[in-house]
Amino acid sequence: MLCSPKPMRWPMRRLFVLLGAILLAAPSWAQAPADPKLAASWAFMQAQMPGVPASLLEAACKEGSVMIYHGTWIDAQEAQMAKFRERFPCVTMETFSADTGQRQERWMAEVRAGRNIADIVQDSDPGFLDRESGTGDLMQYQISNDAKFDATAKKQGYWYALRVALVGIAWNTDLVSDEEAKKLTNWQGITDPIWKGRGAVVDPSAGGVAYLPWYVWTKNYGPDFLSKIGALKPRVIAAVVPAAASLASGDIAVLFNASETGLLPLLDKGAPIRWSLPEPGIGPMTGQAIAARAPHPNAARLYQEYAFTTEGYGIWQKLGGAPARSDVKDQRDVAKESWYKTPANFFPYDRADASASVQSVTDTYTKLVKNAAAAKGP
Amino acid sequence: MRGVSSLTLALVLPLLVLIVLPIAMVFYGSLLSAPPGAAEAVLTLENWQTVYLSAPYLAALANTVLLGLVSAALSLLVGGALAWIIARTDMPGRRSLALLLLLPMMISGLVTTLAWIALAAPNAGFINVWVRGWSGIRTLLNIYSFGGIVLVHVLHYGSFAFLALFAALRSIDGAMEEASAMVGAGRLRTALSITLPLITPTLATAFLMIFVFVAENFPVPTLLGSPVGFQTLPSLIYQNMAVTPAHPTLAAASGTVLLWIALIGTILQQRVSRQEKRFVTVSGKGSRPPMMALGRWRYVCLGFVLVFLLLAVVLPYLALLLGSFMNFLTPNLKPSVFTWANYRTLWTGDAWAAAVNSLLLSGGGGLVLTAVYVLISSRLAELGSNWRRASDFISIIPSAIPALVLGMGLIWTFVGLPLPIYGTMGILIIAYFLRNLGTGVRHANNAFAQISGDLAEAARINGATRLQALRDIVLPIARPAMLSLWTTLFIFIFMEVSATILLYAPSTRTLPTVLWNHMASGSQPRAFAIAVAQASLIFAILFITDRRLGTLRSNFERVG
Repeated sequence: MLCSPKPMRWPMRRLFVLLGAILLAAPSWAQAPADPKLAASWAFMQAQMPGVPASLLEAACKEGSVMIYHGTWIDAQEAQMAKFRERFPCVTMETFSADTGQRQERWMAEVRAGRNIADIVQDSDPGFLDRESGTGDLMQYQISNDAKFDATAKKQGYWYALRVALVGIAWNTDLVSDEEAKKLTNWQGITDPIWKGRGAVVDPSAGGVAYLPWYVWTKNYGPDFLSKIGALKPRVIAAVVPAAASLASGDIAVLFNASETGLLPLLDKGAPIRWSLPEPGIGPMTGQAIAARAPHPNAARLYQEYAFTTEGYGIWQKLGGAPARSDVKDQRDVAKESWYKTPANFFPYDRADASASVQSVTDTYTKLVKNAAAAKGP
Repeated sequence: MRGVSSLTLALVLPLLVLIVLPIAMVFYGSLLSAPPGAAEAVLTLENWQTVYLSAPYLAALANTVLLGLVSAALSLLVGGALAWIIARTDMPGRRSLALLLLLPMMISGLVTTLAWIALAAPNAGFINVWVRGWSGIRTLLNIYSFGGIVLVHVLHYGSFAFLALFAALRSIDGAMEEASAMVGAGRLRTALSITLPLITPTLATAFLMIFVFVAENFPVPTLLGSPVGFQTLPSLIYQNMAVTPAHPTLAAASGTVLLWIALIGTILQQRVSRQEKRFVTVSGKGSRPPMMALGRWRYVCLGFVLVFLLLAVVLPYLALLLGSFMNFLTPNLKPSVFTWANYRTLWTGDAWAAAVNSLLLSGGGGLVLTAVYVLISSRLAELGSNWRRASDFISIIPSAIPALVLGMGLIWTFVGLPLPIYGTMGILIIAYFLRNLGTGVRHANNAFAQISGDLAEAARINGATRLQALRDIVLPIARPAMLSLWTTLFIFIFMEVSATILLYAPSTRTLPTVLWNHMASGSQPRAFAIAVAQASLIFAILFITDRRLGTLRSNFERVG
């Protein structure tokens, strides 16, 4: 009986049926793309985008291009796109770059008119991305590396943080002694009278990273803190980049609200500058999302996936700013400097409240700092 | 509209629509709580109340008017003196210097400002550091001041005034001045009673245009005025767009304010130019204006021209050139701060395509717009003086609206229209058409105003058609003015960035947008390298076109 073929045939048949069922029910991501030219891309996806199906790659290649609306962090963006091009040669990329306000207005005008051009949108105002995800202008798409971002660095399924744009106190090492610089390790240090006539601030009206410190200082230390800054008669500079350039040239000695992203290219080129990142840390996230009605939705998903892989994220982060992904080690050269220390704790703030407080914070700043700085006399 | 040809209607009506639509959109947007098309947008007067009644905006308006008046007056004074010296005196080296006087127009206001920050920042400007080194004077020049803002504007628009007044001074019928001298009038009296009235329409137009350019400019007062708390309306508009969330409708309301000032300015300009007929001087029988022998004053005048060139050309270009070879801008000129990298990486990426686009838009687009402005002007001449007066008002409107706001108006208008314009070179050409309408139509009107209608009439009496009279009589006489208009448009279009940055697409990126993006991303020396390349390119093109077509020679060949 044991050798009888009949009893054996049924279990075999069941096994084949079972195997067939397993294969049919197998997740589509396990299937390689039919086109052998996509093998290298597929291998990369399997390694760094767990769970992303081959069908996404095939669909992205069919669409063939992706349009990215990005900010003025050109070097980081171009480096990431160059590597993406290498990994996924079937998708070409086009870009539009402008300052935050102008970029936002253009994109929103296009969305409102139903003329959708952007596939990927980036923004240095996380409050804006939050609002847009609420209005349905951003696509709901959870990336495969979603778990690598904590709750403050994403709006789950909508946008993910490319970086933390850290704010610190920066000084010119030719004009500020090491002894004096010790006063600049905490925020209160900037109100010391030794900085009178030597310091500068970036006007909060420049927006984004220039605005957030004024919001945090007002919330955390009250208007008196701003009065003390005003009494130092700082030079008011209209934007982040010219402020960093003034510091590097030695035209100002200290910049009280310096954006690290403006300082880094200058440090890399040998400018005599240093900065501290006092506690509580201040740093708005720069995020990336997919437009809800992206003309190339699959290519956009593929780019969004790539941007937050270990490789894509590392390339962008090395030139673009401090990492927001929890498992990525800071790859910037500055991170290896002995004097460089990122804050352990960040000021917890409500992004919607920060956006809603722009007018009141700017008014307080104008009254206590700007007018005091412009007034004649001591 | 009796007696108006269908050709005129076919040309004027679409252009009117093209002008009115974006402006109407700006006005509509300014009356909304959120941009047009937004679900939450409701009609409100809040933006207008803020802009027209609140203290910060009124102070900014006063600053804008003051800055515009002072800068325009000084630009005319400097540009007028230069034009007179080059066009009407025997100063040595006039012809070569005349070409150099156009160079300040070939660097944008933003780049000129950054060059002047590098030169005259109070603590680390090259000039201040150099003077401090041998004299002990801590700060000789402080560019962060009202005077600094005016200086940058005057050095830039002095060139514009020179170009406008040079042509006017050269086209005066010399017989009138000779007659004045024959009846015993001295040089000063002849200048005040004959020359000045003859060039007054050009003076009025140039003053108005420079006022408008200065009043709508945002980079210069924003960068140089912030440290001293000096804000103009365009500075506030820039802030309204920079802050997040941005306030585009408030920016639109701010943009309307300058309009009223420009319209009032146009009324005044028209009063000055009312008796246009008096100034008709090209009638086929004029003589060259006499040249003044300066004697020993030749060298004083030469010194004046050279000082202007030093301040407006040599110093800023040197700062740009020096900065373009540096890793970062610093007055400590150690070998380690110098690099070739900014030039080595200059023509990678999109810069080539952007340069080609810029050349296409400024060369080809400038040609198209020259033709359009000349056609508008000739059609207006047919329609009569009322239409020509109306055209002065209509044409100043888009030029007076700050470029950022105009760019927004164009997006709001064209993004929703089912026309293949948005995202193409077409929308950039429209933007440049609108931005330069005030200059273009006035320039063309002035050129035609100086040509007596008698010449065309004589041709028509002899059997020529209207088109033949235009082709054979009017256009040859107007050729120098048209070439001068093309030259101005070529430079203006090549330099334009404020509206372009909102409207470009990947395939229509221009060189100034690449420069702007490098500047904004913190690569100031790289942006300086692009600025140097850009100015060199413009100069090379103008030099070549001058050799081939006489674009500049047509004006300057009569010098000396």
